[in-house]
Amino acid sequence: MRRTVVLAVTTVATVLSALLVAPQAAQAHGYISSPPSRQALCAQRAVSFDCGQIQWEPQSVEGPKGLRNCHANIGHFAVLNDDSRPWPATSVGQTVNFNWVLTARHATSLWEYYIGGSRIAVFDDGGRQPGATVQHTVNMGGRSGRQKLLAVWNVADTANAFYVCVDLQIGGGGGNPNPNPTPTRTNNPTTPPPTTAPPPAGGTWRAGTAYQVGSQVTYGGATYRCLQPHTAIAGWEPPNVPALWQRV
Amino acid sequence: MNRFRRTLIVATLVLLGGCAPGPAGTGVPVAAPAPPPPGATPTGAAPAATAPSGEFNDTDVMFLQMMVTSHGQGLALVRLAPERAEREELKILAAAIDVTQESEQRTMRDWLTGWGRTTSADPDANVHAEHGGLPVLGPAQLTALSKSSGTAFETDFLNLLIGHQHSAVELARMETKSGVHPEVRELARRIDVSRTAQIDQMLGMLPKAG
Repeated sequence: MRRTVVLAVTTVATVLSALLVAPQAAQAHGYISSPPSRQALCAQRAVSFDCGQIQWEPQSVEGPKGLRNCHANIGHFAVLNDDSRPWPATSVGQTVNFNWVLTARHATSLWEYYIGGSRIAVFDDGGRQPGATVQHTVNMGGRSGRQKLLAVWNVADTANAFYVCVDLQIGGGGGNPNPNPTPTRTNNPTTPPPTTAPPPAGGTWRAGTAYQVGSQVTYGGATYRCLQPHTAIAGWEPPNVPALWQRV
Repeated sequence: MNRFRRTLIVATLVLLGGCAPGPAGTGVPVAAPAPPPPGATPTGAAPAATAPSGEFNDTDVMFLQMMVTSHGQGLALVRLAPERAEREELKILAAAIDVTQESEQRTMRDWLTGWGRTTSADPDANVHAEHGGLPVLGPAQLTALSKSSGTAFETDFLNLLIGHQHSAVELARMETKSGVHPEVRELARRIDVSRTAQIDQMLGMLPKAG
C-alpha cells in the first residue's frame, strides 16, 4: 500500500494503470503466432472444434512458473492441453523460427522450448525488456515426425509465465523451414474466406466479402457504395464505417 | 487509506494534466461537462454540439483518451505498409485500417472536446504498466520497422499490429464492462469485434513456418 502511494505520485503511467486496474483485472500477454500455436489456431477458428473462451484472448495463457502443460492450469483453457483434439500440425524442417505476438514487453528472464520432457532451447534475456517483436530460431535436434512443442515465456519480475503449445510435423534432415499449406479453415463465422465481390449491381453486405471501390451493397434496407477496397468484417457494417461506405 | 490514495491519485492527475477522471474521481456518473481546459473553445460554442448527450463516467473518458492515443500509434504503424509491404492483401487491410481508425479518432476527439476533456492520454500509459510492461509500439519500434522491407517487414508488421489490436480489444472490454455512456459503449463493442476479426485475418497472413 505504501508502495502504491509512492508510485502514484511518481509516474503518470502508474496512476493511469491504478485507475484501470479497478475496472478490469488486466493480465498481460503474449503467444506464438507462427508457426501457429494452438491458441493462434483457435483465434483464427482454424480448427474443426470449438475452442471456447481462448479464441477471444489467445494471449492470456498465464500461470505460475514451472508448469509443463499447454493451458497453465486454467480450467476454461483446458482445451489447449487436450491432445485428443485434431490439432493441425505445421510442417517444418530441423530449424524453426518461432514468432511471438506481445501486447506488453515485460522484463523477461528465460524463454524456454520443450519437446517431450527435454528442454531443446533456452534464450536468457537476463531480466531485460524484450524487443517489440521476438523471434527465436530453434533447432529440432534431429527429431522427426509429429511433435508437440511447449514454449514458456518467463516474466522476470512476477511469479508468472506464459505457456504456448505448437504442433509440428518435423520433416527429414533439411536445414530450412519447410512452409506448410495453410491449415484448413473449417468453422469461421466472422471471416469466411474472401469471395469475389459482386459487381456494383448489389447484393446484401456480408462479412468475408472483398469489396472494391464502387461496389454497392444493401444493409438494413439502405444501399451503400464502397469508398475504400477492403474485406468486410464484423464491426465494419456499412452504417458504422463512413470511411469505407457511403450511403447512396 | 483508500480515500487517501484516491485523493493522491486525483491530485497527481490534476498536476500532470493527464487522463483526468470525473470531478470527484469516484466513478460516479456525471452529467454535466467539466469546465474546458485553458485554450479550449468556450462552453456553449460549436464543439459542445458534437458531444453525445447523456451521462458518462471516468471509464468512458479514460477509454476515449487512451484509445485516441492508441489510434495514433496504430496509424503510424499501418502507414508504413504501403511503402514497405509486398503483398496486396496486407496493403489493402492496412489502408482500410488507416481510414477507419482515423475516422474513429476524429469522432472520439470530438466527443472528448465536447465534454471539455483533454483529447489524449499519456503515450506511456497502457494497461500493463502496473506490472512492468512497456507498450509495444513506440517511436523506437516504428523507426526500426521502417528500415526493413519485404517478408521481414511483413512478419514484424503483422506481429506488432496483432499485438496492438489485442491491446485495443482489452481497452474496449474495459469500457463495455465499466463504462456507462451508450454511444461510447457501442463504439467499444465495434472496436472489440472488428479488431478481433482483423487479428483473425492477420494471423492467417503470417508465414506458417516463421
